[in-house]
Amino acid sequence: MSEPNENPPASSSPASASPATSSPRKPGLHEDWTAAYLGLLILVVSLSLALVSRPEGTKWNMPAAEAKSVEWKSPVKGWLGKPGTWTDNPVDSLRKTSEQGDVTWQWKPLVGAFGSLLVIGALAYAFRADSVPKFLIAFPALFLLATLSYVMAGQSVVKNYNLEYALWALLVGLVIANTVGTPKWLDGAVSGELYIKLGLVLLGAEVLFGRLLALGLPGVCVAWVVTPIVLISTYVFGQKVLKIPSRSLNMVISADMSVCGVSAAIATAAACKAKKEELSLAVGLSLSFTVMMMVVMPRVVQAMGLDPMVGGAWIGGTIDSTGAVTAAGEALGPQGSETAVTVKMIQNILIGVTAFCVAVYWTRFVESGDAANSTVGVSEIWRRFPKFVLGFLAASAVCSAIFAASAFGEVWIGASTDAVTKSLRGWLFCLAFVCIGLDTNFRQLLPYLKSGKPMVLYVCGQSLNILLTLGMSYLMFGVLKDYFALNEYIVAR
Amino acid sequence: MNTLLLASPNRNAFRRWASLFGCVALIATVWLTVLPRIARMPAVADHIQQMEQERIEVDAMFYTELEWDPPSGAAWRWR
Repeated sequence: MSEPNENPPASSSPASASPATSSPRKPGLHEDWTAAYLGLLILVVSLSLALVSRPEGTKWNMPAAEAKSVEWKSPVKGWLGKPGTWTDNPVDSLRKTSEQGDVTWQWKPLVGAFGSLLVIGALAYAFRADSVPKFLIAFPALFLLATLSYVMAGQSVVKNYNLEYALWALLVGLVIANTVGTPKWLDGAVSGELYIKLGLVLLGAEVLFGRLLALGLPGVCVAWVVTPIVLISTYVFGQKVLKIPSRSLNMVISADMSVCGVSAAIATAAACKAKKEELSLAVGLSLSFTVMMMVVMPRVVQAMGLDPMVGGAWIGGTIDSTGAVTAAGEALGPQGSETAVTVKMIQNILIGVTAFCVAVYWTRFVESGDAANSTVGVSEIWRRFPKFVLGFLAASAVCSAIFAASAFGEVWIGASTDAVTKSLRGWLFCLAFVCIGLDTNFRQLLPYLKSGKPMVLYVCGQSLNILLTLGMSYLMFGVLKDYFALNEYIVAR
Repeated sequence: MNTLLLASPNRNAFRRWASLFGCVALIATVWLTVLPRIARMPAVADHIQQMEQERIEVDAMFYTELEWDPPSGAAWRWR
Protein backbone atom coordinates (compact mmCIF):
# COMPACT_ATOMS: atom_id res chain seq x y z
CA MET A 1 0.00 0.00 0.00
CA SER A 2 1.48 3.27 -0.98
CA GLU A 3 -1.35 5.77 -1.08
CA PRO A 4 -0.06 9.19 -0.22
CA ASN A 5 -2.98 9.88 2.11
CA GLU A 6 -2.79 6.64 3.97
CA ASN A 7 -2.70 6.79 7.77
CA PRO A 8 0.85 7.53 8.78
CA PRO A 9 2.51 5.59 11.60
CA ALA A 10 1.30 6.61 15.03
CA SER A 11 4.63 8.10 15.96
CA SER A 12 4.35 10.59 13.15
CA SER A 13 0.63 11.34 13.40
CA PRO A 14 -0.06 15.00 12.92
CA ALA A 15 -1.80 16.75 15.78
CA SER A 16 -4.63 17.59 13.45
CA ALA A 17 -5.39 13.94 12.85
CA SER A 18 -7.77 14.01 15.82
CA PRO A 19 -8.16 10.27 16.36
CA ALA A 20 -11.37 9.23 18.10
CA THR A 21 -9.55 7.11 20.59
CA SER A 22 -5.96 8.19 21.12
CA SER A 23 -4.90 11.04 23.32
CA PRO A 24 -1.64 12.77 24.16
CA ARG A 25 0.40 11.58 27.13
CA LYS A 26 -0.57 13.31 30.37
CA PRO A 27 0.99 13.29 33.83
CA GLY A 28 -1.78 11.16 35.39
CA LEU A 29 -2.85 7.65 34.59
CA HIS A 30 -3.16 6.91 30.86
CA GLU A 31 -6.71 7.14 29.55
CA ASP A 32 -6.71 3.45 28.52
CA TRP A 33 -5.74 2.29 31.99
CA THR A 34 -8.19 4.74 33.56
CA ALA A 35 -11.00 3.22 31.51
CA ALA A 36 -9.87 -0.35 32.27
CA TYR A 37 -9.50 0.15 36.04
CA LEU A 38 -12.62 2.23 36.45
CA GLY A 39 -14.71 -0.06 34.24
CA LEU A 40 -13.64 -3.10 36.25
CA LEU A 41 -14.30 -1.23 39.51
CA ILE A 42 -17.85 -0.42 38.35
CA LEU A 43 -18.30 -4.07 37.43
CA VAL A 44 -17.12 -5.27 40.86
CA VAL A 45 -19.48 -2.81 42.58
CA SER A 46 -22.36 -3.86 40.35
CA LEU A 47 -21.76 -7.59 40.92
CA SER A 48 -21.36 -7.04 44.69
CA LEU A 49 -24.60 -5.05 44.91
CA ALA A 50 -26.43 -7.81 43.08
CA LEU A 51 -24.83 -10.51 45.24
CA VAL A 52 -25.74 -8.94 48.59
CA SER A 53 -29.37 -8.69 47.52
CA ARG A 54 -29.70 -12.27 46.29
CA PRO A 55 -33.06 -13.81 47.16
CA GLU A 56 -33.43 -16.13 50.15
CA GLY A 57 -32.62 -19.76 49.46
CA THR A 58 -30.47 -19.20 46.37
CA LYS A 59 -27.28 -21.25 46.30
CA TRP A 60 -24.29 -21.52 44.00
CA ASN A 61 -25.17 -25.12 43.06
CA MET A 62 -28.93 -24.68 42.72
CA PRO A 63 -30.60 -26.52 39.81
CA ALA A 64 -31.01 -24.62 36.54
CA ALA A 65 -34.80 -24.97 36.51
CA GLU A 66 -35.00 -23.45 40.01
CA ALA A 67 -32.61 -20.63 39.15
CA LYS A 68 -34.62 -19.64 36.10
CA SER A 69 -37.69 -18.95 38.23
CA VAL A 70 -35.79 -16.78 40.74
CA GLU A 71 -36.83 -13.10 40.87
CA TRP A 72 -33.43 -11.52 41.45
CA LYS A 73 -33.22 -7.75 41.39
CA SER A 74 -30.24 -5.60 42.26
CA PRO A 75 -31.02 -2.94 44.94
CA VAL A 76 -30.19 -0.24 42.37
CA LYS A 77 -32.59 -1.64 39.79
CA GLY A 78 -34.74 1.25 38.57
CA TRP A 79 -32.16 3.84 39.63
CA LEU A 80 -30.42 3.88 36.26
CA GLY A 81 -32.33 4.39 33.05
CA LYS A 82 -33.04 6.58 30.07
CA PRO A 83 -36.05 8.62 28.91
CA GLY A 84 -38.89 6.51 27.52
CA THR A 85 -40.95 6.51 24.33
CA TRP A 86 -43.25 9.30 23.17
CA THR A 87 -45.23 10.20 20.07
CA ASP A 88 -46.66 13.75 20.26
CA ASN A 89 -45.33 15.24 23.44
CA PRO A 90 -41.65 14.81 24.43
CA VAL A 91 -42.58 15.30 28.09
CA ASP A 92 -44.24 11.86 27.89
CA SER A 93 -40.75 10.36 27.75
CA LEU A 94 -40.22 11.48 31.34
CA ARG A 95 -43.46 10.11 32.79
CA LYS A 96 -45.43 6.90 32.86
CA THR A 97 -49.19 6.64 32.64
CA SER A 98 -50.81 3.59 34.18
CA GLU A 99 -53.82 1.83 32.67
CA GLN A 100 -55.97 3.66 35.26
CA GLY A 101 -54.62 6.97 33.97
CA ASP A 102 -52.35 7.75 36.93
CA VAL A 103 -49.28 9.72 35.89
CA THR A 104 -45.94 9.14 37.63
CA TRP A 105 -42.81 11.12 36.84
CA GLN A 106 -39.74 9.04 36.01
CA TRP A 107 -37.05 11.20 37.61
CA LYS A 108 -35.39 8.41 39.58
CA PRO A 109 -33.57 6.71 36.65
CA LEU A 110 -32.32 10.06 35.31
CA VAL A 111 -31.19 11.35 38.71
CA GLY A 112 -29.46 8.02 39.37
CA ALA A 113 -27.74 8.05 35.97
CA PHE A 114 -26.64 11.67 36.43
CA GLY A 115 -25.26 11.05 39.93
CA SER A 116 -23.42 7.86 38.98
CA LEU A 117 -21.90 9.34 35.84
CA LEU A 118 -20.87 12.48 37.71
CA VAL A 119 -18.98 10.39 40.27
CA ILE A 120 -17.50 8.05 37.62
CA GLY A 121 -16.43 10.99 35.45
CA ALA A 122 -14.90 12.86 38.40
CA LEU A 123 -12.94 9.74 39.38
CA ALA A 124 -11.74 9.29 35.78
CA TYR A 125 -10.64 12.93 35.58
CA ALA A 126 -8.87 12.59 38.93
CA PHE A 127 -7.07 9.40 37.77
CA ARG A 128 -5.95 11.22 34.60
CA ALA A 129 -4.84 14.25 36.61
CA ASP A 130 -7.31 16.44 34.70
CA SER A 131 -9.25 19.28 36.31
CA VAL A 132 -12.10 17.78 38.33
CA PRO A 133 -13.76 21.17 39.15
CA LYS A 134 -13.91 22.02 35.43
CA PHE A 135 -15.48 18.62 34.81
CA LEU A 136 -18.05 19.17 37.56
CA ILE A 137 -19.04 22.53 36.06
CA ALA A 138 -19.34 21.24 32.49
CA PHE A 139 -20.83 17.79 33.05
CA PRO A 140 -24.44 18.82 33.88
CA ALA A 141 -24.71 20.61 30.52
CA LEU A 142 -23.24 17.62 28.69
CA PHE A 143 -25.65 15.31 30.48
CA LEU A 144 -28.55 17.55 29.44
CA LEU A 145 -27.46 17.30 25.80
CA ALA A 146 -27.23 13.50 26.11
CA THR A 147 -30.72 13.45 27.67
CA LEU A 148 -32.01 15.54 24.76
CA SER A 149 -30.49 13.01 22.35
CA TYR A 150 -32.21 10.15 24.18
CA VAL A 151 -35.53 12.06 24.08
CA MET A 152 -35.12 12.56 20.32
CA ALA A 153 -34.35 8.85 19.90
CA GLY A 154 -37.43 7.97 21.98
CA GLN A 155 -39.92 9.43 19.48
CA SER A 156 -41.99 6.40 18.43
CA VAL A 157 -41.23 6.63 14.68
CA VAL A 158 -37.52 7.17 15.28
CA LYS A 159 -37.34 4.39 17.86
CA ASN A 160 -39.33 1.81 15.93
CA TYR A 161 -37.30 2.31 12.76
CA ASN A 162 -34.02 1.79 14.59
CA LEU A 163 -32.63 5.31 14.28
CA GLU A 164 -30.51 4.89 17.40
CA TYR A 165 -29.50 7.59 19.88
CA ALA A 166 -25.93 7.68 18.53
CA LEU A 167 -27.16 9.52 15.44
CA TRP A 168 -29.06 12.17 17.42
CA ALA A 169 -26.28 12.62 19.95
CA LEU A 170 -23.96 13.35 17.04
CA LEU A 171 -26.49 15.75 15.54
CA VAL A 172 -26.95 17.64 18.81
CA GLY A 173 -23.19 18.07 19.18
CA LEU A 174 -22.67 18.98 15.52
CA VAL A 175 -25.38 21.65 15.60
CA ILE A 176 -23.79 23.40 18.57
CA ALA A 177 -20.21 23.06 17.31
CA ASN A 178 -21.02 24.31 13.81
CA THR A 179 -23.20 27.27 14.75
CA VAL A 180 -22.23 29.07 17.96
CA GLY A 181 -19.23 26.81 18.57
CA THR A 182 -18.54 24.63 21.59
CA PRO A 183 -18.21 26.93 24.62
CA LYS A 184 -14.81 26.81 26.33
CA TRP A 185 -16.32 25.97 29.72
CA LEU A 186 -17.99 22.87 28.23
CA ASP A 187 -14.58 21.52 27.15
CA GLY A 188 -14.04 20.57 30.79
CA ALA A 189 -16.20 17.45 30.31
CA VAL A 190 -15.81 16.86 26.57
CA SER A 191 -13.85 13.63 26.51
CA GLY A 192 -15.42 11.33 23.92
CA GLU A 193 -12.55 8.86 23.88
CA LEU A 194 -12.74 8.28 27.63
CA TYR A 195 -16.51 7.69 27.57
CA ILE A 196 -16.18 5.26 24.65
CA LYS A 197 -13.41 3.25 26.30
CA LEU A 198 -15.21 3.14 29.64
CA GLY A 199 -18.44 2.10 27.90
CA LEU A 200 -16.58 -0.63 26.03
CA VAL A 201 -15.09 -2.10 29.22
CA LEU A 202 -18.63 -2.27 30.63
CA LEU A 203 -19.84 -3.82 27.37
CA GLY A 204 -17.31 -6.60 28.02
CA ALA A 205 -19.54 -7.77 30.89
CA GLU A 206 -22.28 -8.44 28.33
CA VAL A 207 -20.04 -10.42 25.97
CA LEU A 208 -20.65 -13.88 27.42
CA PHE A 209 -18.93 -16.70 25.60
CA GLY A 210 -21.38 -19.22 27.06
CA ARG A 211 -23.96 -17.76 24.69
CA LEU A 212 -21.86 -18.88 21.73
CA LEU A 213 -23.33 -22.35 21.53
CA ALA A 214 -26.91 -21.13 21.80
CA LEU A 215 -27.67 -22.61 18.38
CA GLY A 216 -24.79 -25.06 18.30
CA LEU A 217 -22.72 -25.54 15.17
CA PRO A 218 -25.22 -24.00 12.72
CA GLY A 219 -25.30 -20.72 14.64
CA VAL A 220 -21.52 -20.64 14.95
CA CYS A 221 -21.13 -21.30 11.21
CA VAL A 222 -23.46 -18.46 10.21
CA ALA A 223 -22.18 -15.94 12.75
CA TRP A 224 -18.54 -16.91 13.21
CA VAL A 225 -17.50 -18.30 9.82
CA VAL A 226 -19.22 -15.95 7.41
CA THR A 227 -18.66 -12.80 9.48
CA PRO A 228 -14.81 -12.90 9.58
CA ILE A 229 -14.71 -13.84 5.88
CA VAL A 230 -16.89 -10.83 5.01
CA LEU A 231 -14.96 -8.50 7.32
CA ILE A 232 -11.56 -9.43 5.91
CA SER A 233 -12.76 -9.51 2.27
CA THR A 234 -14.40 -6.10 2.59
CA TYR A 235 -11.30 -4.60 4.22
CA VAL A 236 -9.03 -6.03 1.49
CA PHE A 237 -11.48 -4.82 -1.19
CA GLY A 238 -11.42 -1.33 0.34
CA GLN A 239 -7.61 -1.27 0.38
CA LYS A 240 -6.79 -2.96 -2.92
CA VAL A 241 -9.71 -2.07 -5.20
CA LEU A 242 -11.31 1.10 -3.87
CA LYS A 243 -8.00 2.35 -2.44
CA ILE A 244 -9.70 4.09 0.44
CA PRO A 245 -7.12 6.54 1.79
CA SER A 246 -7.79 5.80 5.45
CA ARG A 247 -7.24 2.22 6.63
CA SER A 248 -9.08 2.92 9.88
CA LEU A 249 -12.20 4.17 8.06
CA ASN A 250 -12.08 1.06 5.90
CA MET A 251 -11.80 -1.17 8.98
CA VAL A 252 -14.58 0.56 10.93
CA ILE A 253 -17.03 0.35 8.01
CA SER A 254 -16.07 -3.29 7.32
CA ALA A 255 -16.61 -4.22 10.98
CA ASP A 256 -19.87 -2.35 11.53
CA MET A 257 -21.31 -3.83 8.34
CA SER A 258 -20.21 -7.41 8.99
CA VAL A 259 -20.45 -7.74 12.79
CA CYS A 260 -23.19 -5.85 14.60
CA GLY A 261 -23.56 -2.23 13.57
CA VAL A 262 -22.97 0.68 15.90
CA SER A 263 -21.53 -1.31 18.82
CA ALA A 264 -19.00 -3.01 16.51
CA ALA A 265 -18.14 0.35 14.93
CA ILE A 266 -17.45 1.84 18.36
CA ALA A 267 -15.32 -1.12 19.47
CA THR A 268 -13.32 -1.29 16.23
CA ALA A 269 -12.84 2.48 16.03
CA ALA A 270 -11.39 2.41 19.52
CA ALA A 271 -9.18 -0.58 18.71
CA CYS A 272 -7.74 0.93 15.52
CA LYS A 273 -7.67 4.51 16.82
CA ALA A 274 -9.97 5.75 14.05
CA LYS A 275 -10.69 9.44 13.70
CA LYS A 276 -13.92 10.69 15.24
CA GLU A 277 -15.38 11.72 11.88
CA GLU A 278 -14.68 8.21 10.54
CA LEU A 279 -16.70 6.70 13.37
CA SER A 280 -19.51 9.21 12.75
CA LEU A 281 -19.60 8.33 9.06
CA ALA A 282 -19.61 4.57 9.70
CA VAL A 283 -22.45 4.93 12.22
CA GLY A 284 -24.49 7.07 9.82
CA LEU A 285 -23.99 4.60 6.96
CA SER A 286 -24.86 1.60 9.11
CA LEU A 287 -28.06 3.11 10.51
CA SER A 288 -29.27 4.29 7.07
CA PHE A 289 -28.88 0.83 5.54
CA THR A 290 -30.26 -0.90 8.61
CA VAL A 291 -33.58 0.94 8.28
CA MET A 292 -33.88 -0.12 4.64
CA MET A 293 -32.86 -3.73 5.26
CA MET A 294 -35.18 -4.02 8.26
CA VAL A 295 -38.15 -3.19 6.03
CA VAL A 296 -37.06 -5.00 2.85
CA MET A 297 -35.49 -8.27 4.02
CA PRO A 298 -38.54 -9.94 5.63
CA ARG A 299 -40.46 -9.26 2.41
CA VAL A 300 -37.65 -10.77 0.32
CA VAL A 301 -37.59 -13.87 2.58
CA GLN A 302 -41.33 -14.28 2.14
CA ALA A 303 -41.19 -13.62 -1.61
CA MET A 304 -38.45 -16.27 -1.99
CA GLY A 305 -40.53 -18.72 0.04
CA LEU A 306 -37.61 -19.51 2.36
CA ASP A 307 -38.05 -21.66 5.44
CA PRO A 308 -38.53 -19.29 8.43
CA MET A 309 -35.39 -20.61 10.12
CA VAL A 310 -33.28 -20.10 6.99
CA GLY A 311 -34.77 -16.61 6.58
CA GLY A 312 -34.25 -15.86 10.27
CA ALA A 313 -30.60 -16.93 10.15
CA TRP A 314 -30.12 -14.86 6.99
CA ILE A 315 -31.65 -11.77 8.60
CA GLY A 316 -29.72 -12.32 11.85
CA GLY A 317 -26.44 -12.60 9.99
CA THR A 318 -26.89 -9.62 7.69
CA ILE A 319 -28.86 -6.77 9.29
CA ASP A 320 -26.39 -4.73 11.34
CA SER A 321 -28.39 -3.70 14.38
CA THR A 322 -29.66 -6.14 17.01
CA GLY A 323 -32.97 -4.34 17.53
CA ALA A 324 -33.65 -4.17 13.80
CA VAL A 325 -32.99 -7.92 13.50
CA THR A 326 -35.64 -8.54 16.15
CA ALA A 327 -38.14 -6.33 14.35
CA ALA A 328 -37.44 -7.90 10.95
CA GLY A 329 -37.45 -11.44 12.35
CA GLU A 330 -40.88 -10.87 13.89
CA ALA A 331 -42.45 -10.94 10.42
CA LEU A 332 -41.21 -14.55 9.97
CA GLY A 333 -43.11 -15.98 12.93
CA PRO A 334 -41.78 -17.45 16.20
CA GLN A 335 -39.24 -19.86 14.67
CA GLY A 336 -37.81 -17.31 12.28
CA SER A 337 -37.73 -14.61 14.92
CA GLU A 338 -36.02 -16.85 17.49
CA THR A 339 -33.40 -17.95 14.96
CA ALA A 340 -32.74 -14.38 13.79
CA VAL A 341 -32.20 -12.97 17.28
CA THR A 342 -30.10 -15.91 18.42
CA VAL A 343 -27.81 -15.67 15.39
CA LYS A 344 -27.44 -11.94 16.03
CA MET A 345 -26.65 -12.58 19.69
CA ILE A 346 -23.91 -15.04 18.70
CA GLN A 347 -22.59 -12.39 16.30
CA ASN A 348 -22.70 -9.82 19.14
CA ILE A 349 -20.25 -12.01 21.07
CA LEU A 350 -17.83 -11.71 18.14
CA ILE A 351 -17.35 -8.05 19.02
CA GLY A 352 -14.74 -8.93 21.68
CA VAL A 353 -12.65 -11.10 19.38
CA THR A 354 -12.94 -8.52 16.59
CA ALA A 355 -11.78 -5.66 18.81
CA PHE A 356 -8.84 -7.71 20.10
CA CYS A 357 -7.74 -8.93 16.65
CA VAL A 358 -8.04 -5.44 15.15
CA ALA A 359 -6.00 -3.96 18.02
CA VAL A 360 -3.27 -6.59 17.56
CA TYR A 361 -3.26 -6.18 13.76
CA TRP A 362 -3.10 -2.41 14.06
CA THR A 363 -0.28 -2.28 16.57
CA ARG A 364 1.69 -5.07 14.86
CA PHE A 365 1.30 -4.09 11.20
CA VAL A 366 -0.51 -0.83 10.41
CA GLU A 367 1.13 1.53 12.89
CA SER A 368 4.57 0.26 11.90
CA GLY A 369 3.91 1.75 8.47
CA ASP A 370 4.81 -1.21 6.28
CA ALA A 371 2.90 -4.40 6.87
CA ALA A 372 5.22 -6.63 4.85
CA ASN A 373 8.57 -5.60 6.31
CA SER A 374 7.60 -4.77 9.84
CA THR A 375 10.03 -5.86 12.56
CA VAL A 376 8.29 -4.36 15.56
CA GLY A 377 9.42 -5.71 18.93
CA VAL A 378 7.11 -7.03 21.63
CA SER A 379 7.74 -4.03 23.88
CA GLU A 380 6.80 -1.65 21.07
CA ILE A 381 3.63 -3.62 20.35
CA TRP A 382 2.79 -3.48 24.06
CA ARG A 383 3.43 0.27 24.14
CA ARG A 384 1.08 0.87 21.21
CA PHE A 385 -1.58 -1.64 22.21
CA PRO A 386 -4.85 0.03 23.35
CA LYS A 387 -4.82 -1.18 26.95
CA PHE A 388 -8.52 -0.60 27.57
CA VAL A 389 -9.09 -3.66 25.32
CA LEU A 390 -7.52 -5.69 28.15
CA GLY A 391 -10.16 -4.29 30.53
CA PHE A 392 -12.84 -5.22 28.00
CA LEU A 393 -11.46 -8.77 27.69
CA ALA A 394 -11.04 -9.12 31.48
CA ALA A 395 -14.67 -8.06 32.05
CA SER A 396 -15.81 -10.52 29.40
CA ALA A 397 -13.65 -13.37 30.77
CA VAL A 398 -14.76 -12.88 34.39
CA CYS A 399 -18.46 -12.57 33.56
CA SER A 400 -18.29 -15.47 31.08
CA ALA A 401 -16.65 -17.66 33.76
CA ILE A 402 -19.31 -16.79 36.37
CA PHE A 403 -22.03 -17.25 33.76
CA ALA A 404 -20.75 -20.66 32.69
CA ALA A 405 -19.98 -21.94 36.21
CA SER A 406 -23.57 -22.43 37.39
CA ALA A 407 -27.19 -21.46 36.90
CA PHE A 408 -26.77 -19.18 39.95
CA GLY A 409 -23.96 -17.36 38.12
CA GLU A 410 -26.16 -16.94 35.05
CA VAL A 411 -28.91 -15.23 37.06
CA TRP A 412 -26.36 -13.18 39.05
CA ILE A 413 -24.75 -11.80 35.87
CA GLY A 414 -28.21 -11.08 34.49
CA ALA A 415 -29.23 -9.09 37.60
CA SER A 416 -26.02 -7.04 37.53
CA THR A 417 -26.16 -6.28 33.80
CA ASP A 418 -29.84 -5.46 33.88
CA ALA A 419 -29.57 -2.99 36.76
CA VAL A 420 -26.24 -1.26 36.19
CA THR A 421 -23.83 -1.97 33.36
CA LYS A 422 -26.34 -1.92 30.49
CA SER A 423 -27.70 1.53 31.38
CA LEU A 424 -24.33 3.07 32.24
CA ARG A 425 -22.82 1.75 29.02
CA GLY A 426 -25.66 3.32 27.02
CA TRP A 427 -25.23 6.70 28.71
CA LEU A 428 -21.46 6.60 28.24
CA PHE A 429 -21.82 5.93 24.49
CA CYS A 430 -24.45 8.65 24.24
CA LEU A 431 -22.15 11.15 26.00
CA ALA A 432 -19.31 10.04 23.72
CA PHE A 433 -21.30 10.77 20.56
CA VAL A 434 -22.37 14.19 21.89
CA CYS A 435 -18.67 14.91 22.53
CA ILE A 436 -17.68 13.70 19.04
CA GLY A 437 -20.31 16.03 17.56
CA LEU A 438 -19.11 18.93 19.74
CA ASP A 439 -15.58 18.28 18.50
CA THR A 440 -16.35 17.93 14.79
CA ASN A 441 -16.51 20.49 12.04
CA PHE A 442 -18.87 19.68 9.17
CA ARG A 443 -15.99 20.44 6.81
CA GLN A 444 -14.05 17.49 8.24
CA LEU A 445 -16.83 15.19 7.05
CA LEU A 446 -17.12 16.61 3.54
CA PRO A 447 -14.08 14.90 1.93
CA TYR A 448 -15.43 11.51 3.01
CA LEU A 449 -18.88 12.27 1.64
CA LYS A 450 -17.57 13.73 -1.63
CA SER A 451 -15.52 10.69 -2.64
CA GLY A 452 -18.48 8.31 -2.22
CA LYS A 453 -16.03 5.45 -1.58
CA PRO A 454 -17.31 4.64 1.94
CA MET A 455 -20.80 4.12 0.54
CA VAL A 456 -19.46 1.90 -2.28
CA LEU A 457 -17.46 -0.10 0.27
CA TYR A 458 -20.51 -0.58 2.46
CA VAL A 459 -22.75 -1.62 -0.45
CA CYS A 460 -20.20 -4.07 -1.92
CA GLY A 461 -19.39 -5.57 1.50
CA GLN A 462 -23.04 -5.91 2.43
CA SER A 463 -23.81 -7.57 -0.93
CA LEU A 464 -21.13 -10.17 -0.26
CA ASN A 465 -22.47 -10.58 3.28
CA ILE A 466 -26.01 -11.13 1.97
CA LEU A 467 -24.89 -13.79 -0.54
CA LEU A 468 -22.56 -15.73 1.75
CA THR A 469 -24.95 -15.63 4.71
CA LEU A 470 -27.81 -16.85 2.52
CA GLY A 471 -25.67 -19.77 1.34
CA MET A 472 -24.54 -20.72 4.85
CA SER A 473 -28.05 -20.28 6.31
CA TYR A 474 -29.52 -22.47 3.59
CA LEU A 475 -26.90 -25.15 4.24
CA MET A 476 -27.07 -25.14 8.04
CA PHE A 477 -30.71 -24.29 8.71
CA GLY A 478 -32.18 -25.83 5.54
CA VAL A 479 -30.22 -28.79 4.16
CA LEU A 480 -28.79 -29.92 7.53
CA LYS A 481 -31.76 -28.84 9.68
CA ASP A 482 -32.86 -32.40 10.44
CA TYR A 483 -29.33 -33.54 11.13
CA PHE A 484 -28.95 -30.89 13.82
CA ALA A 485 -32.52 -31.43 15.10
CA LEU A 486 -32.99 -27.66 15.02
CA ASN A 487 -36.71 -27.74 14.39
CA GLU A 488 -37.27 -29.76 17.53
CA TYR A 489 -35.10 -27.45 19.58
CA ILE A 490 -36.61 -24.15 18.44
CA VAL A 491 -40.16 -25.45 18.88
CA ALA A 492 -39.27 -26.93 22.29
CA ARG A 493 -38.39 -23.47 23.57
CA MET B 1 -13.12 51.26 8.85
CA ASN B 2 -13.28 51.26 12.67
CA THR B 3 -17.04 50.88 12.51
CA LEU B 4 -16.64 47.93 10.17
CA LEU B 5 -14.11 46.23 12.44
CA LEU B 6 -16.35 46.68 15.45
CA ALA B 7 -19.46 45.60 13.64
CA SER B 8 -17.99 42.48 12.05
CA PRO B 9 -17.67 40.28 15.19
CA ASN B 10 -21.17 41.29 16.28
CA ARG B 11 -22.57 40.44 12.89
CA ASN B 12 -20.72 37.13 13.01
CA ALA B 13 -22.05 36.37 16.46
CA PHE B 14 -25.57 37.25 15.31
CA ARG B 15 -25.20 34.96 12.31
CA ARG B 16 -23.98 32.12 14.50
CA TRP B 17 -26.84 32.46 16.98
CA ALA B 18 -29.34 32.79 14.13
CA SER B 19 -27.98 29.56 12.63
CA LEU B 20 -28.38 27.82 15.98
CA PHE B 21 -31.96 29.01 16.38
CA GLY B 22 -32.66 28.01 12.76
CA CYS B 23 -31.35 24.48 13.39
CA VAL B 24 -33.27 24.20 16.66
CA ALA B 25 -36.45 25.39 14.96
CA LEU B 26 -35.98 22.86 12.15
CA ILE B 27 -35.36 19.99 14.58
CA ALA B 28 -38.33 21.05 16.72
CA THR B 29 -40.57 21.19 13.65
CA VAL B 30 -39.52 17.72 12.51
CA TRP B 31 -39.85 16.13 15.95
CA LEU B 32 -42.97 17.94 17.13
CA THR B 33 -44.93 18.19 13.88
CA VAL B 34 -43.64 15.96 11.09
CA LEU B 35 -42.79 12.78 13.05
CA PRO B 36 -46.08 12.72 15.01
CA ARG B 37 -47.93 12.96 11.67
CA ILE B 38 -45.83 10.16 10.19
CA ALA B 39 -46.60 8.10 13.30
CA ARG B 40 -50.30 8.33 12.44
CA MET B 41 -49.88 7.05 8.85
CA PRO B 42 -51.61 3.64 8.71
CA ALA B 43 -48.56 1.56 7.70
CA VAL B 44 -46.28 3.25 10.23
CA ALA B 45 -48.93 3.14 12.99
CA ASP B 46 -49.38 -0.61 12.38
CA HIS B 47 -45.65 -1.21 12.58
CA ILE B 48 -45.33 0.81 15.81
CA GLN B 49 -48.33 -0.92 17.35
CA GLN B 50 -46.97 -4.36 16.46
CA MET B 51 -43.55 -3.57 17.92
CA GLU B 52 -45.09 -2.22 21.12
CA GLN B 53 -47.48 -5.15 21.50
CA GLU B 54 -44.66 -7.65 21.06
CA ARG B 55 -42.45 -5.55 23.38
CA ILE B 56 -39.68 -5.43 20.77
CA GLU B 57 -36.88 -2.99 21.53
CA VAL B 58 -36.15 -1.96 17.92
CA ASP B 59 -33.49 0.50 19.06
CA ALA B 60 -31.48 -2.16 20.92
CA MET B 61 -27.78 -1.88 20.23
CA PHE B 62 -26.86 -5.19 21.92
CA TYR B 63 -28.77 -8.38 22.69
CA THR B 64 -28.85 -7.60 26.44
CA GLU B 65 -31.15 -4.64 25.68
CA LEU B 66 -33.86 -6.93 24.35
CA GLU B 67 -36.74 -8.19 26.48
CA TRP B 68 -35.85 -11.71 25.41
CA ASP B 69 -34.64 -14.77 27.19
CA PRO B 70 -31.73 -16.15 25.16
CA PRO B 71 -31.44 -19.91 24.80
CA SER B 72 -28.58 -21.40 26.78
CA GLY B 73 -25.97 -23.53 25.04
CA ALA B 74 -26.68 -26.49 27.30
CA ALA B 75 -30.27 -26.62 26.07
CA TRP B 76 -29.20 -27.17 22.49
CA ARG B 77 -29.60 -30.74 21.43
CA TRP B 78 -26.79 -32.18 19.38
CA ARG B 79 -27.74 -35.20 17.42
